Amino acid sequence: MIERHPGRARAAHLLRRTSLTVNPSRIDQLADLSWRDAVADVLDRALGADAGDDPPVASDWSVVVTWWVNRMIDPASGLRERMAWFWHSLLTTSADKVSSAALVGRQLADLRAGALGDYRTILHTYVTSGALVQYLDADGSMAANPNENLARELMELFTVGRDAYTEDDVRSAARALAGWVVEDGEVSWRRENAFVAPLLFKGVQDDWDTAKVVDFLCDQPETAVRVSSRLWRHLVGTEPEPGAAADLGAWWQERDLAVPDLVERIMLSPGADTARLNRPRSGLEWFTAYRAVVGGAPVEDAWTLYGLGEMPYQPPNVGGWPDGPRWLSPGSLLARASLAFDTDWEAMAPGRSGTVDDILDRCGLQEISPATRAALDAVRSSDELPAEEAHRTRWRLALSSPEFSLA
Amino acid sequence: MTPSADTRRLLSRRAFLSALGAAGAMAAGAGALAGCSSGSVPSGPPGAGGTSGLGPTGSGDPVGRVVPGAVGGRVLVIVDLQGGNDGLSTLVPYTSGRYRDLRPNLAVPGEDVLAGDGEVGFHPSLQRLSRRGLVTVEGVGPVAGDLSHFDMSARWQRGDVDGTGTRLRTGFLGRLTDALDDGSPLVGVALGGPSPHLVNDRASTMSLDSLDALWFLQPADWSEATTYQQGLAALGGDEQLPAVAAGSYRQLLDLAARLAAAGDEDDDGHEVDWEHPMVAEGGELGWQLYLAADLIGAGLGTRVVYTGVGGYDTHTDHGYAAEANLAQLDVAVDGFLTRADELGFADRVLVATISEFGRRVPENGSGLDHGNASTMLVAGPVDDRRAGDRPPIDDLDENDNLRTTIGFDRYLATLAEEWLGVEAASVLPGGPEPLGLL
Repeated sequence: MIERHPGRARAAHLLRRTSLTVNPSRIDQLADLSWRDAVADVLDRALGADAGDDPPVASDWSVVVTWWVNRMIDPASGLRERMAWFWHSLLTTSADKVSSAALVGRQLADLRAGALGDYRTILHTYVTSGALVQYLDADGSMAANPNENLARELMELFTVGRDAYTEDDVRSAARALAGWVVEDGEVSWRRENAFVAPLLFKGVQDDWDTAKVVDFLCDQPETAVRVSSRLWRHLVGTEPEPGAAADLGAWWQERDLAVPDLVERIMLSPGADTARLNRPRSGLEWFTAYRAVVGGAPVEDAWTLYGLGEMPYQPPNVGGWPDGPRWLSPGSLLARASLAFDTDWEAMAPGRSGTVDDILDRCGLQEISPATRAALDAVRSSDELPAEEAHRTRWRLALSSPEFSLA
Repeated sequence: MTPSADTRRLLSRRAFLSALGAAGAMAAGAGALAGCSSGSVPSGPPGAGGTSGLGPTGSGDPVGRVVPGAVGGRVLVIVDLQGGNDGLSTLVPYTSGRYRDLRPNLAVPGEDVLAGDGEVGFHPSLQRLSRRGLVTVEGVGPVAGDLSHFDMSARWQRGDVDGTGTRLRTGFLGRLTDALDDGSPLVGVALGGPSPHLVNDRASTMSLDSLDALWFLQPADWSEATTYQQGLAALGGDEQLPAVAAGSYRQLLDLAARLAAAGDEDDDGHEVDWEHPMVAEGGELGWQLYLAADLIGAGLGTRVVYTGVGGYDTHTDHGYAAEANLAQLDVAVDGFLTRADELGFADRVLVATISEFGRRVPENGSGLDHGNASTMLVAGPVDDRRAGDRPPIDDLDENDNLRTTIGFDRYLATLAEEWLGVEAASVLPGGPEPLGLL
């Protein structure tokens, strides 16, 4: 790879991992800072601002998602939006099973507001959100014959993981979690539906209820290890070594599962600054980067993301969106390249002139393979290819490039 | 959704040429992946940053196996009747008094049914298919089902008959593509949008709304396109990690070229003939199956095709809706098989319906509520045959629905093992027994 400018390449890497937008002037700002100072700057800036407006009240949940996508591509957006997305991809919900857009909006508002808080609070809020209660069939679950869906996924996916509980634990947790009801767009807890007697869960006899179950699970070392490892994969792009994963989880538990501490610790780990372009941008990551680069009018309809395979609030299943090399498959790249090809060049602000270096700067591509650089340089205007078409072709190639499809 | 006339115009290359320079961000009908990955992804290339890089992240789901000596090259086309198709309107028990009693308004009159055998006959809308002959499979449904579209669709997608397979991350059809993967450019395809059915680990699969999604990658005689395509083929080719993506681009350019070569020379590559009866009368399913025939004929190694159409959730006006839906199914599937014959692959393509559940036996006003077991249809090189295990209409379950007599996993097992030659136990949990139909 050609590192076009060492400081900007480092800054571009940091911003790719800690935001969902592309902001060349922010890359310039961070270019002269050390890695440590740049990480601190990213955290300070995110913690210095609150979540801002709540999602709009709409009758259609996709309006809520469209609003969120526009927050993500805002040049000022940063770690909060990145983490809110990370939490939604772990603590997911499909709007197909939620009865109103308002419930989706409220869950999202809480997720964004709490994204930089601590995992225990995030999980409590999520588990008792009306959207999740409906999504995982806890709506109307009665202690006498409780639905086990939420109990199982809470342990399997959101906390301790598959090897750390038994089917008896699932049945007990399902009873303890019974009592939630969604009615007229409001979630409430009904004592008469709940199990209010002592219950054996995970070998402990207690008056278990939703809060106690979530707290207990957050206290288990497996939870901290699994969630922190997942964030490691997201931010660094590699699998943490087994020993390092256990250490990271234990350290995070001592920090009361505080999100900013974990982000800082991961980004300052050896190798995090050089683990560049080592994982694909997912469908949503690519789209927000693409829209941030080409600018123009706000996104009007987030359904484009469905075609890219990663529409928020439309996960393929409760496990969220699969990651890995599939994001570089032919089907995935076809969808990306066709969007890039069809970019609205007229609406694109300073898109009509500029050198290859200008294009790469605007795309946040501070590192580029010699082949891609050569392919862009090779596009020359001629009798058959007027200057404007040549320029447009360079843009298309930069946006279609494998490098732009990497995080 | 059927592209509007405007969208169709925009999608054609000629129209694009004439519109060049005009403002117009357009939505090319490029759907994306159904969670697909390329067969050419190298395992574990070192990361560009010097740390360990991308390795294929397998789902951990079972890996399919092809039965030794299986007939090669066969294609399975799934038609998903979304919303819950009523088996009793598809294959009508026209001599049953109980059927008439429970459906005083919605029972199909005995004199209208087609190819009746004294017990059951086809809905009058299924004219062409009833003449052609097909295998009907009665009593197919979930084990311990519930009445939720979401849950039951998800079970069919996973191949999870009793709801205990929620940990399966891939789809049944996706696992079939992995089992059949030979590195072909398009082992599986979903038409009309990405489908969870095709989520897989390995084989190259894609979702397309239109073959025109590849138009800008097809061989062209205008400089802007050729320059772009030359550039695309050269991007990132010298670094191992971007090479994964570069390989995908070369695969796409190859796919586009093959599609163009298979298309009509007078036409812009490969477009749907909107006047063709199967498209004009077959609705959404009609154009999906039209594209399916083109894709299969284009020699891209396609083995599994998913098509799907909504409108079967007939809580109201069931009589009218069933008539219209089944008429579209009839013309679309018959048209597809006719095209398969014209294109020379009729002997190696099988069309099979699925649907998340059947419908309630007693009518409710003008409609039918969610049900349980239903009747599946299998068309292609098969004998005309009434198969399955007819659920008793006088012994309904606690919801007044037909009982499942054949778990749908056995139906899927039949399609996998008896048609495609993929060992059923290797792609379906619990090792369901194929039905011995094909």
